[in-house]
Amino acid sequence: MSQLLEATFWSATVAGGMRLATPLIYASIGETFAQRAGVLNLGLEGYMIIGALSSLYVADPTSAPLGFLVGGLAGMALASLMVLLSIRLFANQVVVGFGLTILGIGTTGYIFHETTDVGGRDRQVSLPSEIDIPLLSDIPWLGDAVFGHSWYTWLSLGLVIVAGFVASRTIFGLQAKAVGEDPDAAAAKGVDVLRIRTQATLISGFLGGLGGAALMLGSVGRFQPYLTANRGFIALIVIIMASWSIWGAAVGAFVFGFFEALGFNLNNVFVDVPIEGLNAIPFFVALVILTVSARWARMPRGLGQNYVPTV
Amino acid sequence: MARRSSILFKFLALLMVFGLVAAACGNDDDSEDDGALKVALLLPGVRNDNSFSQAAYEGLRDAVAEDGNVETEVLEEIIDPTDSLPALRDFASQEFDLILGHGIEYVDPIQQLYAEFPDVAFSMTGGILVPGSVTAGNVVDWLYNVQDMAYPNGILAAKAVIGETIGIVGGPEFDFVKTMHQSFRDAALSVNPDLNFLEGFAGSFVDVQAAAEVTQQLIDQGADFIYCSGDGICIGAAQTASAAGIPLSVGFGSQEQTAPDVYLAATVIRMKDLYLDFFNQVRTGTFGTADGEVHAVGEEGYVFYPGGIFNAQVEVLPVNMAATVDTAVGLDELQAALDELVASIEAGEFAIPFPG
Amino acid sequence: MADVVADGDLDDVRPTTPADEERRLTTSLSTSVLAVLIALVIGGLILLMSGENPLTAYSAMVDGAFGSSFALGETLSRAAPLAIVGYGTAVALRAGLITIGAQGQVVAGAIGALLTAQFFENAPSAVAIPAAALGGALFGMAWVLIPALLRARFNVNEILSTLLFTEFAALLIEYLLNNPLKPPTAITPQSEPYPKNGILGLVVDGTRFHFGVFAAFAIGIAFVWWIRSDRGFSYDLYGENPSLAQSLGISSNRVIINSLLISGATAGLVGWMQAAGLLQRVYVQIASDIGFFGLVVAFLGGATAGGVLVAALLFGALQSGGLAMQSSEGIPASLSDIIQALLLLGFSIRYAPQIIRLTRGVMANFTLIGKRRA
Repeated sequence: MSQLLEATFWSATVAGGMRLATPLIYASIGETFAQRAGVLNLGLEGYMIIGALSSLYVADPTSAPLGFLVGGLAGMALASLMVLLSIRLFANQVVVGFGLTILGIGTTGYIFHETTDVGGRDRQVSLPSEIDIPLLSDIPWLGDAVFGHSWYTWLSLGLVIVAGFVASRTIFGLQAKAVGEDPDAAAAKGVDVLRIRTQATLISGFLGGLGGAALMLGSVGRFQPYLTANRGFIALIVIIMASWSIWGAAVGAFVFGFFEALGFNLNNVFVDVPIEGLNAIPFFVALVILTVSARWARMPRGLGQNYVPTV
Repeated sequence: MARRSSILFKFLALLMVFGLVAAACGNDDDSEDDGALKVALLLPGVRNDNSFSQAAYEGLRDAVAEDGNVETEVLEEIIDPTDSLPALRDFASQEFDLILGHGIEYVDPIQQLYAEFPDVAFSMTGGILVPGSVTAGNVVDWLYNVQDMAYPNGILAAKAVIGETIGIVGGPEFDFVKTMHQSFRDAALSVNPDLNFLEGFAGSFVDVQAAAEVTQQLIDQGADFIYCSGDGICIGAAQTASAAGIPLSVGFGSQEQTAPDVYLAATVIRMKDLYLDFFNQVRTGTFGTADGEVHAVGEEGYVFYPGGIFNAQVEVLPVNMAATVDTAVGLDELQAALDELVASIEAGEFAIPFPG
Repeated sequence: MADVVADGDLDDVRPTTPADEERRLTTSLSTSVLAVLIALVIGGLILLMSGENPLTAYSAMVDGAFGSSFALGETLSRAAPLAIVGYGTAVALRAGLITIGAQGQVVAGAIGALLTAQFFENAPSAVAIPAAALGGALFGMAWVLIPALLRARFNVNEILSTLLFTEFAALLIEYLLNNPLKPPTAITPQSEPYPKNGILGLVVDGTRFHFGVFAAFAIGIAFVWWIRSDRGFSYDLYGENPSLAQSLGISSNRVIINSLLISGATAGLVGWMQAAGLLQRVYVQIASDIGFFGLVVAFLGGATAGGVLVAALLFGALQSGGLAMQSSEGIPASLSDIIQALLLLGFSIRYAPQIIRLTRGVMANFTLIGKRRA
């Protein structure tokens, strides 16, 4: 119990929370764009895992930044199927989303299976070093935990600012919101609903892929099947928990990561509590936040419904 | 309502027609009987999981290379209990001579199937732990000693660690994982009773990022050595240990590629000799219970093949001499300690105790 | 009247207006066939590139789904739980609720069934079997109770809360099967064998076609009765237009809670079926992915009685065939997943004009390029 009084315990947990949050931030921000525009992307898990594998396979022979970018493009490629099938051909979004998740897991598993010799070398990258923010990272206790991270984390925070701006200050962002709320009304005002939804979905594919790439290149470095371990679905939890706000998604991702790290850490504090109970902590916190925020949260009214334009 | 379902019905009809056409076109390549033994292997994971499944795959591959007259089929990623019975049954009805169900998930289906296919030999894994399991004229049971995958690591860790805190990383908190951790602790304490331990679980066998994070947390809390009892997830533990410059040993499979600087040693399962033995038994008709009758767990006549360091089914991999991490004693000395342990087990002077 | 609602599209768990109806594109069989054929061809090309013979692979798939009495039994015993979950989910969908928590409710149902069956271990089967079925259904219901109350009371999003409860169920069963429910000697999570007096017998020996499969038909009939009943109609109405329904005196809370409880009970029943019929023991993976695919089945089947049944059969066939493709053709599980996913995506498409327009667009572009070059 005495560990709980030590500052290092908490600083380690905060740092862990930020590391665990990083892939979630990319993925959940992308998905927030899509959902604000009315597209329920259950293929996020698929985008992430295909981004993870592609980033590794490119980064191994070349460089991490290139791999990172390709990871995003791979996610976008998978998302283009969502565009084709759901947005353009009006197939049910839930069905296509699940289909794309299976497709992503299957494709990555198969590529890994076929390109790895048993007992041979797997593709691998070494993990990035931390980039400390000067001065701030020297603050005692929390300094290093908050201000000493890899560039994937810093980039994700930069992305939050850009995405927040795009969502609330650009024409695209406002049109996306309009399209997600009431596509008929938006169309009546001359907004090209399908185009906006297409763009939002591709953004979510790209960022989902980047999330997988950040997971791979930032904290794992070597592929295993099912490696994303439902993080795509956790990103969905984060978005709803954050009531479809970009800033909220970033904070929600951190909150989730923090409590996940806390669960790991408490194993050595409460030795007798079963690990399953500790692992339930972040989900329980999500439920509490969800319940509290339900007063003001409002789901985009057009979420999950296809828009069929008048021919 | 009527409209859509009729369309879906037509779909189904179309699919069936298509299938019948395809079935008519494709002819089954029934291999002519050239006397080769037909062996099927079912794995819970992928063949290149660097762990439990890979051990069986490599064992079969090597055994086949040595035997020379065996045809094999390998089925991977059969972990859902709904899938294991039909998969086994499919092999049995394809007249395979020997089916190796490499995982506890195949015990129940083998128990349900063996009587229906008396000419097919089944090897199951861990039936001895499942109450009511039986062996028969065509069913035998195999299991490795889980403690053998941990005890040598504990000896190594206690000798190598600079400091007094050892971090243990596991996948899910399963009983056999906890048993491994306890055996690891027992071994380390037998060398140095002053050691203390931190323990963390990633919660699954696939979540590599969680394993990396758990490892980081243990290191942040003061761990000077990391033992990872899992398999694929140990990639995460190895990456993190490497970044922190902390020595590492692994329960299932080497992590030398992931962390050549800090990885010291690992334990692996070796199945080749057992499989060669099985081939021979099937050919000579000596497979299964001695009297050909059914014998349940606990009865005399239950056919159980234990695996461990004592019969070289568990191998302690040589210490990674290229490691650059600081250790309390030299790498040669670590190797000598492991050699000594293995020698005493092989000579029958010492048996690794089952913890608890 | 009920038929008017039942004839809706699968996306229209939301309000529809006459304008929507007007511009709804017609579904044609040719499109759907075309889409599936495209999926088959793409899958075939992938198989070909992987060095497999697509025809043999597909025929192994069909063989594994329909080729023998065992195969048919597999397809049916996989389709039945999907159909039941599909019907339960459809009830909620028609009331405008998207519950994606069936996976967790199946798990809860399996635990409930096992505990009940163990309690009635010495009772005659005629008592033990229905009791366990009821136990499963009640546990499934209990697992959705909190999300239902939260939604009714505080308007908490049910998509997320049911997903969270799925996560809790996964952790709970892992804990139970690693600790109190585990046989003392076992080293991996599993329960004791399911009590013998509660096990569902086989309809056809040598298959896994057990009597629990008939529950799917019973639930299907109950579903038809439900959507034709006055109450079912009022729930549909609520799903279409909540404010209108409320102004007609339909209680919002009652619709939300009841329809979610119905979906929970059916999913719980599936947990019982899997434990007492198919597997005869409870494992961590007892629910396979039934909960998730049951949801897909509900959507794909348009939340209608016939549609759900057909979609469930399709999925059952796809799964048993996909596995057979692995075991008889040596095709890796991951490749089989790819083929199954492609077929699922193919089946999801139902509108022709768009495909034709799209093809035309592509063709037009090609012609343009050709002209420019010339």
